[in-house]
Amino acid sequence: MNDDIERRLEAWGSASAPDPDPAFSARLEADLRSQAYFGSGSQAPDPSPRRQVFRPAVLVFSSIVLLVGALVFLRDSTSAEVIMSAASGTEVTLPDDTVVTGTAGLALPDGSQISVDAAGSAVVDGVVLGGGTRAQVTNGQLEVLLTRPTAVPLPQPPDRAKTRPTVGPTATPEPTPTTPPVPNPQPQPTPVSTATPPPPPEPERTVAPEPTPTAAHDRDRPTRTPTTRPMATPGEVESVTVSLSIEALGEERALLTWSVSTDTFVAGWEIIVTSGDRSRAIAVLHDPTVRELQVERLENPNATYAVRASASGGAVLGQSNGVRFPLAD
Amino acid sequence: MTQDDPHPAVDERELVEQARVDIDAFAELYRRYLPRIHAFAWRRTGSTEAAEDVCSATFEAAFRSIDSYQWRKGGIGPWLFRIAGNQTVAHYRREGRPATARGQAAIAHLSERTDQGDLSEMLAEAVPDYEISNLRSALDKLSPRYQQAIALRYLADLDPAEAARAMGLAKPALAVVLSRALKALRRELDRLSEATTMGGDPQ
Repeated sequence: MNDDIERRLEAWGSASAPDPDPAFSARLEADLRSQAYFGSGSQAPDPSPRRQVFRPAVLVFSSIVLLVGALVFLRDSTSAEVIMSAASGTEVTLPDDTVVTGTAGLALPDGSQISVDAAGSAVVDGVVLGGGTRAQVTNGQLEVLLTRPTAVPLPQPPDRAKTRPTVGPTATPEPTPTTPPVPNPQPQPTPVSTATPPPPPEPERTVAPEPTPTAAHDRDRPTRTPTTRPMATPGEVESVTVSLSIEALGEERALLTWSVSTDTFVAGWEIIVTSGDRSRAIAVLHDPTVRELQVERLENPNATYAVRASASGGAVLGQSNGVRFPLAD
Repeated sequence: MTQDDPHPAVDERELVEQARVDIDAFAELYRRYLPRIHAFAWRRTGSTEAAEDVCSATFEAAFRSIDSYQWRKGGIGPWLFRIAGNQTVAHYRREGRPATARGQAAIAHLSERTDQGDLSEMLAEAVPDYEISNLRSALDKLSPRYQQAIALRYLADLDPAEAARAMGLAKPALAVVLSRALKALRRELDRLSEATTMGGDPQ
């Protein structure tokens, strides 16, 4: 009886299929190359051949780093495991390619990819991921790869809801696909001092650029457009001033909003939480146009948030002042 | 392989090793496999946009995890198809599909008339549209594992051994899974047929 079905399936499988659109092929290849050059923080191939030459040395060094890291981890009572604390309309692709529905309490090992539906939301490691966000976990750290201009539903006191200008992540512009980056990138900028700049002026709500929201028909297109930033040569590196403000969105959530003096060489952001004498990045944002992020209240009320601007290659361009989670009204 | 292949004499195993450290080598693998992965995703979804979504997700996932890929007889193809199969299932979960055969037929009809004017012609060579639509509807209702087995065996242009590798199974085990999957598909097709005869939606 299955013979008939097999015949039909074979006919279906032998039906000629269209070739991929050349524009799509080129765009995806450019995207993959941009991940390699600008670093998604993943296991991306390293364009530098030095990685092969010094592999034994790298292994020894990595072992030492791992050992030290493990000792630090054991000393620290807080777990480095990344946990999804809330989710709706979220799918997680685990490192073995198993796809599971995002649920509260789900542990996210390195390599996990998080995909939030347009109408969904999730909270990972205290960071609120709005609808359409794509993120992954790398080295125990959340990396936000793609954000969408979708408001995250929030329980808000009525009076605050009236006074807040907008809610939700800043829209990600979708520029025209660019040509692949130059195969041999110029030398990376030298890291500069991360000294905290002076306290910022009263935060302005207009500091974030307001890109045109993505058209609805682009919503489903997962290919993220490569964010090509100028590659700074060492002489060109300039530190930037990042100003950060925080606003309560309720008892448990707050909105971080930041501005930067110049974003010419900014390739992304790190959201740093400092608790006592320890700092860690709770999220890495690979979109230099993003200027806000929702976060959940931290366990330690004295912990502070800061935003660090990074150049392509990871050099730190500047770090904001630290701000505490505000008291709700 | 294309005419302007920068690694014409490099066999696939060597290329995979290079791809772990060299984006150009990975790009070459990408160019080699994109047409096949795209064809697979297109047949499975019937939509150019969905096929592109699946291709993007597949190669991004492959790019992220190629360091952990272990070379096996049969090459990297089955591994890529396995990822593509998972991403296809994930795509359906994420996007949802019209729940009824009639809904899917309507979508197929619309897509033929709009962005894929050549769809009907291409499919008509082998199998009528309504059969594709019915098969796809029935396949969507199977468990992800059965969907994977059938899609990889029949829609991915893989031979039985390659399909088994893509599923992470031995050939005899795949045969067992396929047999069950085909029976389940038959049941779903019968349900669809009954529902259509009665004029209702097969839910």
